[in-house]
Amino acid sequence: MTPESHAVLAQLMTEVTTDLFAGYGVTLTYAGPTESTALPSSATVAGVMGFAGEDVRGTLLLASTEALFVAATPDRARGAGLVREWAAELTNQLLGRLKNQLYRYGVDFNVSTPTALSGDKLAVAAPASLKACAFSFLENETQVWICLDFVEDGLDLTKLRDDGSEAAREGDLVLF
Amino acid sequence: MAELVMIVDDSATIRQQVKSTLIDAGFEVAEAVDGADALAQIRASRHLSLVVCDVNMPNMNGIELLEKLREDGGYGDLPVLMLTTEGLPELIVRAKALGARGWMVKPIQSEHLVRAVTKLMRKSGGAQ
Repeated sequence: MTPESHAVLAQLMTEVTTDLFAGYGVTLTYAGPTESTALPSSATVAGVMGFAGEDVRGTLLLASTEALFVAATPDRARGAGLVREWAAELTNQLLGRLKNQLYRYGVDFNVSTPTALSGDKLAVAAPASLKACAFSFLENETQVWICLDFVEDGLDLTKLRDDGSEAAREGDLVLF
Repeated sequence: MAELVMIVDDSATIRQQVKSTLIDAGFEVAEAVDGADALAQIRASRHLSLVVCDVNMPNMNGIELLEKLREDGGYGDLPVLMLTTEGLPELIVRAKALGARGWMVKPIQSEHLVRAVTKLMRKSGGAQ
């Protein structure tokens, strides 16, 4: 992937993440890419989801504090023991947004079922792929950390798909 | 008697969100954790008026559920509203061809959901 395509990916990642959390009442500011692919020590809840397509495959990991995930939970979805469930669903919605955006560039992939985990001192195995990139966001002083670990085969995000078609947008409703 | 809606989603939080929204709007709500669970309940002759169904689920996804309902036959009047993160045009076209009556992209907007459910139910004439 060229630096130009990487820049597009970073921009898309920033947009989908801030938009997702804003929709649930949490304002995130992008703190920049981070070299480190190690989970921040403050993260106690993480959602993980895989994806695989012709041009790209990998995993998305979304991690932060339990308090942040609770703050991003809609009232109707709150309940005892549902923080991990919501972290998994947020990861699902985050990857879904990214997928819908990447469609414009001719990129498509299938997604796995999201899962989530919680605990102190969460850690991930160092990604084997050289393409792992992490993004850090802040809600005041609380860090939201996203790691996109993937392999790609000439992923080009500098050109939109020939037919100009786009995916439906979040919140869209079509009745047939 | 309140109309019965089934929410099919592997996410407990989504099921809770949809259930709470629709109960407040006066519906009864049944839950299924995936397409296979939904299919079993539908086949067991529940008096369903509508199904709200996710796409990406383990153990039979939403598209596969539509295919099975079509294969079974007899469910043509049961409206299915897809509720999903997916927005690809090809998938929407496929769901429509398989008999889905609508497509809603998450996040859930309660007013839109209630409006869509009410409208689809009105069009189909209520309980099966």
